[in-house]
Amino acid sequence: MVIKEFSAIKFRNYQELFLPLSAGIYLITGDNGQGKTNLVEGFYFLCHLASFRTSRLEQLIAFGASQSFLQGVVNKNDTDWKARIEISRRGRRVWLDEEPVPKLSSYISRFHSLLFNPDNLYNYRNFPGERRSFYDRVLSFIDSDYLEALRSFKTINNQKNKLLKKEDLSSLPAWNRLFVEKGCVIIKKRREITADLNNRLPRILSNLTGKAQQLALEYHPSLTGDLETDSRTLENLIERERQAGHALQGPHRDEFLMTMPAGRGEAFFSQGESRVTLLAVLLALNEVLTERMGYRPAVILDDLYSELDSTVQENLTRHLHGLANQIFITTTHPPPVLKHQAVEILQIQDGRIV
Amino acid sequence: MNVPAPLERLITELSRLPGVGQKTAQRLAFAILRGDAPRAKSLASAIGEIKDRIRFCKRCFGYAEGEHCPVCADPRRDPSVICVVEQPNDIYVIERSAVFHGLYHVLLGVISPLDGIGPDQLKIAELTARLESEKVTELILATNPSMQGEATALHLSKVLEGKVESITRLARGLPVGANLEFTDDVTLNQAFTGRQRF
Ligand SMILES: [Zn+2]
Repeated sequence: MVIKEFSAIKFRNYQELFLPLSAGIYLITGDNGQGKTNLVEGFYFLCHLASFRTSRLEQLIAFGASQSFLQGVVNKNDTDWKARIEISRRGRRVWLDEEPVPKLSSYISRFHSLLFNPDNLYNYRNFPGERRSFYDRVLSFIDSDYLEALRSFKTINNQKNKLLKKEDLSSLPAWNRLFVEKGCVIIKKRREITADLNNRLPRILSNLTGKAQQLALEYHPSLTGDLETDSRTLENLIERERQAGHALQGPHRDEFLMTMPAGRGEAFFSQGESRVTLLAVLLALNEVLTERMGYRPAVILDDLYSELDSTVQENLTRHLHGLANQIFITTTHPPPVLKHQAVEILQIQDGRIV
Repeated sequence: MNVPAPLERLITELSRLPGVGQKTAQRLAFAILRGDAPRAKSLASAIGEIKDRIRFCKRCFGYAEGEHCPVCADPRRDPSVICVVEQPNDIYVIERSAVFHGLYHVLLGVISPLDGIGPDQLKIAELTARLESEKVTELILATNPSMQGEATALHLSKVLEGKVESITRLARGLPVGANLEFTDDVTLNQAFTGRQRF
């Protein structure tokens, strides 16, 4: 996909912005607090109808205004889509080619971007739940069966948790059956994408660091993914789950971990290693999206270059130039390597492009 | 809106109906006001009567005017097959498709702990009693393909196992989360003919 036009009205510190865009790499630069991240947040919102920084919509609306407007022309598979989004404190309203979109989920499943952002890196590193939702987002986009299984599972899990706090547990076997059925679909597909990524990660990481390196994504499901085995596990768990008042095992407890060789887990990575390994995952996911769906997501790399040594900066830049995606990079200090490359520079000052 | 109080009241009442927004409610209210008086009175009495005259069928919990609903009272229906549905209106959807000739049993709900509804609040004991007193050979579970509908069907298949020769579930093909109410006749037909044993 390519965002061909982007406009923002009263969005964060942008009063009125109109920006024609094309495929290729954009370097968004400027001092801190001028609106670099706000701009890519706008691109992200155009794809996902959500921000990667806040869940509170009012924070997106410019000071003193009651509504924000985002508009864009997005090209996907050689078709232009004109998207218009109205953001108010009460919610979002969306039009696609001038038609109102009643179900926002149908819009969200249409466009996808890959995001690197320091806060998300922190969350990815520290919270298992964030890692799960990270892979859930991509899988839901790639595979509608996964999306369906995940949505159903969430309903089942909520129902089961509520039931476990009640007296009459007679319907629990039925809920557990559904829990395991959907759980097995989720586990199978999480296994598949883990294997797929592991075929790519060492190559991409070595590419970025310039030396041969191993990197593995480990997936530890909390159940086995075998219908009969898991059904029995849950049967034996009923009494403990009743006491706990919630489901103790299931896909909502699955773990994703990244390890370098010799069992060195993510907790022991340096800041720079964390950064470069997550970038490697994103670049691997980009390959997966392209190969499995012929889809090239917009790639948003917020505050990309800090804490990366100059070799990695150079290798990464070279890697990005080899991609056919539309790429947005924000940075306060563009590394010297970029000076010799074909990039479009957007200099941001106080909510304007100068 | 600045309208006389009685009109305001009608608009408010109409807008409480499902699928009726403020705008539609206004349009309906103005249409009623513009129409002649006997029509309006007739509408009002129809609404007034419905709660007094319609009750649940003693046998299947569908809608009935007397003791029994038209389906239960019809001697041509096949009493050996019972189709279990969530709500009385589901009966009319299936009847419209003319694919089913047996009797019904309405649960009057679906298992949903989040809404505080457990098996005890549904007409399951009444269904069990029917299986014991009537000559039933097949039970078709036609709850909606939502997770609550699936859980209810699974629960029924477990607690009623052995009480009837065969328990079947409508074939998938109905999209998940879809409602029986909004399913077209062809899809429903396929779901009935392709029903599977538990
Ligand atoms: Zn009846």
